[in-house]
Amino acid sequence: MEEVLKVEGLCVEFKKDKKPFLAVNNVSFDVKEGEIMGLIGESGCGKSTLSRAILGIQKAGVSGSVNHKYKRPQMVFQDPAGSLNPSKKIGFILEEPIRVKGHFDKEERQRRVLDMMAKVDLDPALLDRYPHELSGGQRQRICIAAALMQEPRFLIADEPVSALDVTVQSQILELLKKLHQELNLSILFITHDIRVAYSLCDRVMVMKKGQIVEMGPRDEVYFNCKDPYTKSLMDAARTKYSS
Amino acid sequence: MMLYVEDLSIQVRDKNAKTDTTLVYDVDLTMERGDIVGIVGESGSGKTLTALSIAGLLSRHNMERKGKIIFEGINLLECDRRVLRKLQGNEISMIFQEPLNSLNPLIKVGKQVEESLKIHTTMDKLERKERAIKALRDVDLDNPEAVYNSYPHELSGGMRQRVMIASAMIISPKLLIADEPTTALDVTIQAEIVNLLKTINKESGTAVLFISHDLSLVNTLCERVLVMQNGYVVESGICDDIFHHPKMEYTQKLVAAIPKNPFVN
Ligand SMILES: Nc1ncnc2c1ncn2[C@@H]1O[C@H](COP(=O)(O)OP(=O)(O)OP(=O)(O)O)[C@@H](O)[C@H]1O
Ligand SMILES: Nc1ncnc2c1ncn2[C@@H]1O[C@H](COP(=O)(O)OP(=O)(O)OP(=O)(O)O)[C@@H](O)[C@H]1O
Ligand SMILES: [Mg+2]
Ligand SMILES: [Mg+2]
Repeated sequence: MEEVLKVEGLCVEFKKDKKPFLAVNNVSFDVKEGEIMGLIGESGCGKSTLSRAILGIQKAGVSGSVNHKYKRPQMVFQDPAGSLNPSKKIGFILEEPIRVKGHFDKEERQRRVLDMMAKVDLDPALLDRYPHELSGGQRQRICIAAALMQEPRFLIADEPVSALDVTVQSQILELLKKLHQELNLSILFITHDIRVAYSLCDRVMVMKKGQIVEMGPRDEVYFNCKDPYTKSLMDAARTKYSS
Repeated sequence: MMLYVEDLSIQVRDKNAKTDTTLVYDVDLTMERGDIVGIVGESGSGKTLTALSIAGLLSRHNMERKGKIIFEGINLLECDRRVLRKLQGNEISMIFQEPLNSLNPLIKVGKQVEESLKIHTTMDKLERKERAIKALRDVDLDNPEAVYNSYPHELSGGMRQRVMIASAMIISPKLLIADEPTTALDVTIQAEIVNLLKTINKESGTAVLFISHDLSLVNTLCERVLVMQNGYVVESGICDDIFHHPKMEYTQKLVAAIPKNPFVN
């Protein structure tokens, strides 16, 4: 299979005010090997729900098909605080997944943990702390580090740089680009920041009220979109960031 | 002077080493009623800890604070717990950086948004509900009635963030501390929130301490800004000066790292 992910006719149904509603409505797309696919769209349109359904974490109300090429896609969740075990130290959280696999001895594991901390620009002293003893942006980088520790072939990242100041943010984006280029890492990248999606993605899709309304190569979507909602999104970004 | 912070420093005691590590050094800040001040800076530089101490919320974190935080004549670092609790949510309120951490997962969000009305006003149940739904509509949530009746996990990240904003603003505090309040929101909603902050600022004289890593947002909203790095305020002053003529190397780096606008060459 040339695709790392193939999604067909995916729907997720929830109840809102006791009435059923489709948070994800008949979504089909694929992510090619070595591709960075961006997903943008307004708050509440269904991006996180879609990613949870793709990972199989969201099961209730899901229909359609999801096919993965690789067994373990890694996920960076939107809420860093909720996805780190509060009772474990950072060092343990980073080392645990490669310890369980048993491929590396203690020394090699330590080396890899330290190496990863440097990549996400964090002081190794943080390894001895608990998640609540970090700042918001430090926690977010630990989530990214934890996902990358397992050397995934495919990564789903839900707003992974939202809590980072621009200098650290650009560093993390560079890291992802590098992994993408050197290790052919494929990424489904969810963001509300149109500039971030532009700097990183090969293709972009736009979601609105549960549906994909536009999908294509980055420049097509940014400069030559067909869908009116996409156009309004781009216009809003144009006026805001030009000041 | 509404708020006067002088030489604020924050230390944490290391569990094993029994030594103190300083996390925030000598922060000075003054705010009058109606001021809007921004804090920008490196991740981990001490923005949240500074904000939490001004909101009087750091005591539970086993941290030592030195210096002065005088709010309306009361020294928050020394005053009685009861005095502090009276101020919180009424005169000083805070929008937290991580909404999931600060909303109670077991209580419907409507009840949480109304909380401070219940404590600090004499409104009855119906009035509170009406006011809460209006607050939810103000932050651009469509179908606020449904949101009122939802649990936090039934909302998206950006919706939860807006719920936090609604609950912090519902009582028009004298000082609103907003810690990265729009990280999960796209430009259109961000603009709504900024307008909302400007409105509450004009109409109720609410002063806003606005922490954000979005420099263009800080520039549109704030008059003054502090730039933090490594626990220090490295530069402060009028936004226009700082962003267009940054003196410190770090501020220059920050300004240079703003992501490129795809629509401008
Ligand atoms: N467990 C749930 N039960 C009921 N409704 C839910 C549940 N989870 C999400 N929803 C609803 O599904 C819709 C999509 O939510 P989702 O979290 O996928 O949005 P999103 O695109 O990730 O938004 P954001 O950018 O704000 O994070 C929202 O209306 C939300 O209220
Ligand atoms: N309980 C704690 N024990 C030890 N160190 C802590 C604790 N809480 C925070 N810190 C450290 O204090 C420093 C300042 O944290 P703070 O949360 O104020 O940063 P911030 O400027 O808000 O960063 P961000 O932009 O990432 O949210 C960080 O280096 C953090 O690791
Ligand atoms: Mg989301
Ligand atoms: Mg913070």
